[in-house]
Amino acid sequence: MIRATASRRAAVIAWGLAVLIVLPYAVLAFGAFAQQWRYPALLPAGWSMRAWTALAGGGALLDAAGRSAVIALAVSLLSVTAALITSQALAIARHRERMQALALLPFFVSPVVIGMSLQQLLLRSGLDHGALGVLLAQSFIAYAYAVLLMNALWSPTLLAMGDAAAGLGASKLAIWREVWLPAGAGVIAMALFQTFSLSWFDYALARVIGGGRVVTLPIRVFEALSAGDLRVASAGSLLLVLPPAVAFLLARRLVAASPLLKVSQ
Amino acid sequence: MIAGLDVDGMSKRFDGRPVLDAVSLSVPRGELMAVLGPSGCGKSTLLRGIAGLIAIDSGTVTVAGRRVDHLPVRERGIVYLGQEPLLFPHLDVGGNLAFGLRLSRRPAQEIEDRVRQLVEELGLPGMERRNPADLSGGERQRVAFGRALAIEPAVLLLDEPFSSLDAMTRSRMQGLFRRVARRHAITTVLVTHDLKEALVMGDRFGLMQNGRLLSHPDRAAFAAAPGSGVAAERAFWDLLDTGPSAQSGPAARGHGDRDA
Repeated sequence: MIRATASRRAAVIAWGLAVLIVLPYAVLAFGAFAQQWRYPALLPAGWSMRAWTALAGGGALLDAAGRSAVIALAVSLLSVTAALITSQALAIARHRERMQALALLPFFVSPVVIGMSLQQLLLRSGLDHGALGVLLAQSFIAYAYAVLLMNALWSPTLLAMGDAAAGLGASKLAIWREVWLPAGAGVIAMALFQTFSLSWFDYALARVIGGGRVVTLPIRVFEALSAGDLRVASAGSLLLVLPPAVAFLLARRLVAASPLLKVSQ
Repeated sequence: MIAGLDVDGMSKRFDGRPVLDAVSLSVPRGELMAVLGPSGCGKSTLLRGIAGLIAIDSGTVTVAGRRVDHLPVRERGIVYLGQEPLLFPHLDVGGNLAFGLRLSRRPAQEIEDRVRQLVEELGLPGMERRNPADLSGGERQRVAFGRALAIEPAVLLLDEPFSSLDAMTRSRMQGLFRRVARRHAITTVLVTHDLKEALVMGDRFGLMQNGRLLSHPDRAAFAAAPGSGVAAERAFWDLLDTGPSAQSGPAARGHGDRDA
């Protein structure tokens, strides 16, 4: 009896959560394909592809999406690679707690402030208003997040596995290639996903550093939103959500299969 | 005496405190030296220093007549095996056994044959495709041992490898490790705080205290040494009087073999 009640309550909570999560996306989907959707109608009066045609107008949407994808992929690869090397060095550093605290410093500064100061730096090095500047600025923020995530990877067990591999004849490169990277694939995949999302969704840094010349997908969506075109903004938002959702599912599969989590040593 | 492992004057300080104080030891090829001592006396530091896993302040390490203390870990021909087997979790049993051979780019057929031979020798048939997470503690230790044997190291360092196993498995593992290491003529140093384990496995003995090592070439010398401590000595004589090794003579190594 008690068990049946608890199970009913769990089902209600699960459905409630599912509705809360799905509802915003359903609203976006209706908005993106609606011909007309006036208050107080619960559903659109008709369906249309107008928003998508407008968004794709002249290939601008594909351009923006492609640029966003390239920048986000580069940011995630650059920041996670740098964070892997940094966090490994921190894990074996003499005063590692103090050093790891240093890696958290970017969290104490607003991204806008970081953006402004980076812009000054990039201006002086001639990299402002370009995709490379946006990439470097986003990588700066993503790197701090990635270091934080990667700190969890370097357990004494993983480090000792490196020692064990060295005893079996592995060079430093072989330890990374044969032990640390495959054993830590789950954590690395999650960090790649997080940093990809951070860059993919970024508006402020791309706007400030890109100076309007680097048009990413979020910038296109915000342009539609500012112009009051909710249909186009809805379609753009849906598009914005799709790649991170796919990346998340892939990362989750890798985390679930993560050998480090399976070993009960 | 065929050269095995020689350590001369090894010292190491942590934060100004001496952990190893001019430690010297000598183990002929194929023999096993059991080093006993209380927790924190520097036993593990000694092994890690020999393996090159920590930098030593002074001293030399010579393996089969060749000085190795200036070489990186991977070039010393020394394998360190700790309490945790540290199997690579992304590889199955076969992959773990073949790890060192793959790194040295041996032919695929040779690797396959060697893995099959190790599986037989260590009693792991049918486990080649098993994941390390699905193995028992004893099985994991056997795979870690096999992974080390595969590359035929000159020296094997065992840092209390059986301490997390139950009594029966521990006894079997002691016998198996001893027998196989002897068959492959691997020079071995075992550190333990278990007197019985030391007596079962050791050919020669060392007693470590406050970073200093007193070496004894055989069981009798070790038992007679005043530094071995009253409690340890009493336990030793009790074991000789009542234990199965009493019937097997001074070479108690046979005792371990029977356990396996």
